Amino acid sequence: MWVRAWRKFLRNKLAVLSGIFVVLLILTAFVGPFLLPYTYDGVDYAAVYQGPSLKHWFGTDELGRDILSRLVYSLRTAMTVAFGAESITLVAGVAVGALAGYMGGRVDNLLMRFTDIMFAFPSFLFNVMLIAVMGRGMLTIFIAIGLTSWVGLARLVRAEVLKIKSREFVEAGHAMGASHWDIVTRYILPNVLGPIIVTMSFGVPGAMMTESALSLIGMGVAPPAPSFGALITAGQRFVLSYPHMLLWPALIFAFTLLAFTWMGDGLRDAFDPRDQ
Amino acid sequence: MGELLRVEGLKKHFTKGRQTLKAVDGITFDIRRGECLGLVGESGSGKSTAARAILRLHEPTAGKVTFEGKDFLKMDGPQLREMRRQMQIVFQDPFSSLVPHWSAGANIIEPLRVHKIGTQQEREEEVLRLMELVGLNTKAIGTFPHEFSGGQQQRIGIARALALKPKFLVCDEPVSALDVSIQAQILNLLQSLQEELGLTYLFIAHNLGVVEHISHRVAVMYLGQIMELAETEELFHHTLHPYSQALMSAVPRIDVDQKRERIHLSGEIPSPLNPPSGCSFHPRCPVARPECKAERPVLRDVGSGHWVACHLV
Repeated sequence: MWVRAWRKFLRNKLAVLSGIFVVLLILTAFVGPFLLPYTYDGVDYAAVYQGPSLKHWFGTDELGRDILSRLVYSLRTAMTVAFGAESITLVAGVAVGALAGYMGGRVDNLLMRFTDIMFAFPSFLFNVMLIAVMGRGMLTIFIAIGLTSWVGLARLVRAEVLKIKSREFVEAGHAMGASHWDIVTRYILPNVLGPIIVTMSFGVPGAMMTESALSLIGMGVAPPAPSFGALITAGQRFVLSYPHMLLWPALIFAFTLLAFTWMGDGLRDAFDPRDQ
Repeated sequence: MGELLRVEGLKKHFTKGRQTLKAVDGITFDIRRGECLGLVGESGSGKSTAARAILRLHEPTAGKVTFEGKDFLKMDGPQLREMRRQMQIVFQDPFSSLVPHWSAGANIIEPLRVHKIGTQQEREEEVLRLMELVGLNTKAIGTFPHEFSGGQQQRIGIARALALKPKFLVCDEPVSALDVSIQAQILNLLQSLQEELGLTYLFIAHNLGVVEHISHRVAVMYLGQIMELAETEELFHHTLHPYSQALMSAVPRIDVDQKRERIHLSGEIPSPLNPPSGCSFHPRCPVARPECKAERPVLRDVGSGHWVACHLV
């Protein structure tokens, strides 16, 4: 299954290109800050509102801060938030979904009604409320996003587990006396890995969007720490006089989101069970 | 031949809301050591559910299963696990019965891993021995299930079932999903394994031809109950129950001198959600009488181990 999915993914040029771009973005987010000549909050009043130059590739902002540096750090923020939130989503979604699907009956009912309630609640409002209660900060933000985005994954995992647990190889496992833990983790879940990976790869841009939306309304990471949302918000104030301040953050952010989405598309097609 | 397994009044009901589906409704029989008991019936008669209830893959609603004199249904924990080593199952769909993301070797070795039998090296040697035993090429040890043909997949399933050296094997329609030319190979394999290893089979099938070939005794099931049970020879030549007679008349025969009339049953098997009163076969029975509607006939011995549940016999 893995070999076939991988081959199919490689045949999709757009997805492979996006995948390479995603890897580059991740590398930049981790290594970039060490290679940059400026810090994200280094103020330089002698060089405000500068357009792109050799010294400042992407120009500077209203306080003379290097936009490239701020972008690289924004990328880092976005990655941290997205991967942090996705880890919570992964753990909570898989645990709830697998438990509900495998146990069935009352446990399933209870967990799924709880999931329904979470699903019905406007998640952005929930994020805002959580941050209002717990305070601003990176940790709070990804906990808030994680706590609202596991619902979809839980439903997906439950449906898949329900489908697979009636297959005969699961019965064979019971017949030979394998433990429930073994059956869930070794027999069932590896078959759900494809859909999980696909959901996660779509979840990353989703989490980034939510984070920047929170920044836009002033509930994101606290300044002067940069994030795409904060940069775009700042940039749009000066868009008529200094368009580079909006252009670069918006472009980079858009490409980041697109790359994750296209990669997700490729993965979804690669794991599509219909043409296996 | 002594008795290995005894099933008494076994019931498996599924409840959903206010409705109860009586998939298996009180079946009683024994299986003797080293024999093959065939269990036949149409789809929906409860054969597979009965087998799964015996192995406790579905927990039975009521009844008793005794294996070598021990009450299997009362066991739990380590005792149950230990007992599972004695009773294994071969499934109908050979592909679906194998873990798809594991190689053939990994599938066969799994029972040994679960029961922590032997060292890794001993296990690997055992897998090779099992593959040879069921007629698989040992070079295919690292090959994945979907790369095998149906017959080979079923051989892997059989090897896995034999890994724990069980005494009792349930074969749940093991050949019905296979190509006709392959069916005979798998049947012959199961038969020679039985002789070689002294296994006891509960062999489920809806094809009487298959059952006649492999079984020592045959039980006929209809709507969750056993209608008739006898030695294979006896059942095929002195069929007593009207339902069994209808089944027998559908078996194609080569001998022309024996003129037989095909008995056509009208209608479908009734829903086990709402089974008929009295004898569950009476709405489709060509010779039903008023008492058949009123009272459920009990399975009784009519001589020399031939059991029938019918008012007319």
